[in-house]
Amino acid sequence: MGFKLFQTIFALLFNGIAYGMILFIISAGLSVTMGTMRVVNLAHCGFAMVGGYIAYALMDRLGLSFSLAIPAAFVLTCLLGAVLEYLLYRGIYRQTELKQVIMTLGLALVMIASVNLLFGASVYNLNVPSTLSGNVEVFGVGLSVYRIFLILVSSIVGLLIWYFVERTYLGKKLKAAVDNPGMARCVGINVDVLFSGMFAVGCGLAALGGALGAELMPLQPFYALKYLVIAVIVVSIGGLGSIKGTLLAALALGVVDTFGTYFFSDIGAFLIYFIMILVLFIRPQGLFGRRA
Amino acid sequence: MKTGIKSLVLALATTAVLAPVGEASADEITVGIIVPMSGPIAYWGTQFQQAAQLYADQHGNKAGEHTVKLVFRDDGGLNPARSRQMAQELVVREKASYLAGLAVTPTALAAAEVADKAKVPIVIFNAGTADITRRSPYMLRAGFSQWSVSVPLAEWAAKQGDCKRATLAVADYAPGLDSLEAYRKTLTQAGTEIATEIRIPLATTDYSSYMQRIKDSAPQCLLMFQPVGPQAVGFVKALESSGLSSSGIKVLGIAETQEVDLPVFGDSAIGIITSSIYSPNNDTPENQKFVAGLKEKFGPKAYSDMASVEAYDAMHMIFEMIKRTDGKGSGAESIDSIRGMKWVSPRGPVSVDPDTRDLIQNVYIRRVEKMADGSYVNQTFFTVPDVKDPWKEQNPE
Repeated sequence: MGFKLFQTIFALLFNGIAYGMILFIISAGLSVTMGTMRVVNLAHCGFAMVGGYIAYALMDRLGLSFSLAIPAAFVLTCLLGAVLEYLLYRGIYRQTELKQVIMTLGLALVMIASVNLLFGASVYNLNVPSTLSGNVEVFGVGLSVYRIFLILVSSIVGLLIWYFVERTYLGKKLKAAVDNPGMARCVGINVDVLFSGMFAVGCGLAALGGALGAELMPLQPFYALKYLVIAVIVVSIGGLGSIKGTLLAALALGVVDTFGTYFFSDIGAFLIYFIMILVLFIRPQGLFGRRA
Repeated sequence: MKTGIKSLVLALATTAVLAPVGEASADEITVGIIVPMSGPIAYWGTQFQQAAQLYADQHGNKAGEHTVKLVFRDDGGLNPARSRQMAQELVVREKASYLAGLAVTPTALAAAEVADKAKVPIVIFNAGTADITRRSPYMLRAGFSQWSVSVPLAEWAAKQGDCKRATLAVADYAPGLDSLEAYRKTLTQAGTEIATEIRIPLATTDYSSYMQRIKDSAPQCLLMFQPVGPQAVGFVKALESSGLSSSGIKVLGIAETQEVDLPVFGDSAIGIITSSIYSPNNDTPENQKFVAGLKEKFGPKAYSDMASVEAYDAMHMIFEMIKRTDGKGSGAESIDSIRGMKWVSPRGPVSVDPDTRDLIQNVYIRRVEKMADGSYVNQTFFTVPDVKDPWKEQNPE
C-alpha cells in the first residue's frame, strides 16, 4: 500500500511538473511584456497558437521534421511579433489600460478568425517523432517520454532566459531600461529597439510553448482565448515581470492542479483559483512582483 | 429590458396571427438556419452548413411547387442570447416559416423559445439533453438524446465477458452527466460493478491525474464521454501517453473518435469502441450518394459525419413539411404532417416519433480501425435497431 501511494504521488508529481513547465514557457513572455513593458497583452496566447500552427503547417504541409519545425516556429513567430510590435503595439505603450485591452483583444480575435479561415475549426496536434513517444518505467510507473522531453527543454529554455537577464551585458541594459527608461536613454541605451527585441522574443517563447505543448493543449482556433486565463493566472501569481516568480507559479499551479484533481475530485479543479484569490489577497503584486 | 422582450414577443405573436405561415410570400419559403460558424464550437457550423446546402441543391431548392430559400445565421457558438436574437431576426425580418440549426442545448432552447412564441416549427440539428423536445410542441430534433446512444453502449458492454468492473469518466456538464447516469443505471442493472465515477471539468487542460485515477481504480473497461474537439482530443491523447490505451482496459465512448478528430490520434485510437447514430462508411446507396455529394460540391476534403447527417435529415423533414402542407400549413399542421414519417436516411432507416418529435433510429456500435490507405474509420460491427429515447421511456410525462 505504501509503495503504491508513493508510485501515485511520483506519477502525479512528474505530470504536474511537466504541465507546469509548459505553462511557464507560454507565460514567460507575457510576464515580460506585462511586467516590464506595461502592456496588457491579451493577444499573447494568440502568439502561442500561431506558433503551434506554424509548426503544424511546416510539418504537415512542407514535410519538415519535428526538430526543425519547432525552432522555425520560434523564429517565425519572433519575426511576426517584431512586425506587429512596430505596427500596432508601439501605438499603445503610453495609452490607458482599457485601450490596450481593446486593441490586444481585437488582435486575438483577428488571429482566431485567420486561423479558422486558413486551417478550419478542427483540432490539430503535432506528430511527435517516434523516439519521443511511448513510456519508460521508473519505480514501476510509466512516464511519458514526451513529458520528460518537455521538462528538459523547458528547463534549458528557463536557464537560458536566466543567463541572459542576469549574466549578459544586454540583460543588464534591459534591466536598466525597465527600471528607468529615461535614465537608460540618457546613457545611450536604445530603449525602443531593446523593447521591440524583448517583445519579439516573448512572442517566440509563447510560440515555443504553443508548439511543444500542443500535445497537452491541442491546437484549435479558440486556443488564443481558451488558455489565456491560465497564462494570466500564472503571471499574476508569480508577479509581473519576474521570471523566477513565473517559473515558481507555473510549477506550483501544475502540481497543485494534478494533485488537486486526483485527491479532491469535486473541488480539485478549482483549487488553482482559490490559490490565486488567496495569493492576490495577501500579495496583490504577486509572489515576486514589485509593488507598483 | 423586460418590457422590451415582452413587446417583441407580442409583436411576434401578432405577426404570426396576422400572417399565417406560407401566406407571407406566395412561392418562396424561407428556412432560417442558425449554426455556430465562429467561436469555440465552429467545427459544427461548417458541417451543418455544407450538408444543409447539399440537400437543397440536390432538390433544386424545390419542395413540391415551392421554392425554398435557406438563410444562414452565425450565432458564434455558446451564446444563447445571440441565438435567440438570430431566431427573432429570422422570423421577423426574413419572414422565415421554419427555423433549424443549433448545436447545443442552451442555444437550442433559446431559439426554440422564439419559435414557440411565433408558432414556427424548429428542427434542432444537435442538442443532446433528453427532455428538450418537451419544452415546445413546435420543436423537432434531427439529432439524438445523450441517453439514446449511452444506453445501447452500456448494454452492449455489459453483455461482453470483459466488462464486469467499469470506471465511468465524463465531462462535467449536462450531456456528460446524462451519459453518466445512463451508464450507471444500465450497467448496474446488468450486474456490472462500477469501480469509480469521475467527472472532469470542461476547462481541463492536463488530463494526467484523471488518467491516474482511472488506472488506480483498476477497471476492466472504461466508459467515457467527452465532447468533440479539444476535450476529446486531450482525453484520448492522455489515454495514450499514460499508457492506458495499451494496458488492456477496454475503452468505450461516444463522441471521442468523431471523424474530425480521428486523424489527430493516429494509431493510439485503434480499438476504441463508440456508439453513434451514424457511421460514414455505412455502405448503403443513400450514404454513398451523400458522401459523394459532399465531396463533389465542397471538394475532396469535405467529409460526412454525425453533424452533417443531422443537418441533411433536418432539411428533409422541413422540405417534407412544406410539400405535405403545400406550403400553406400553420406551424402545428406542418409538424402534424410528418409525425410518424419514415424514410431511409444516409444514417439508415429513421422515422419521426409521433409523440416525442424525436427520431427513432439505429444506433451503431463502432470500432476505430485503420484502413489499407492509412486512414482511420469508425467501423460499425453491431447495430441496435430503432432506438427510441430511453430517457423519455423511463420518465413518462
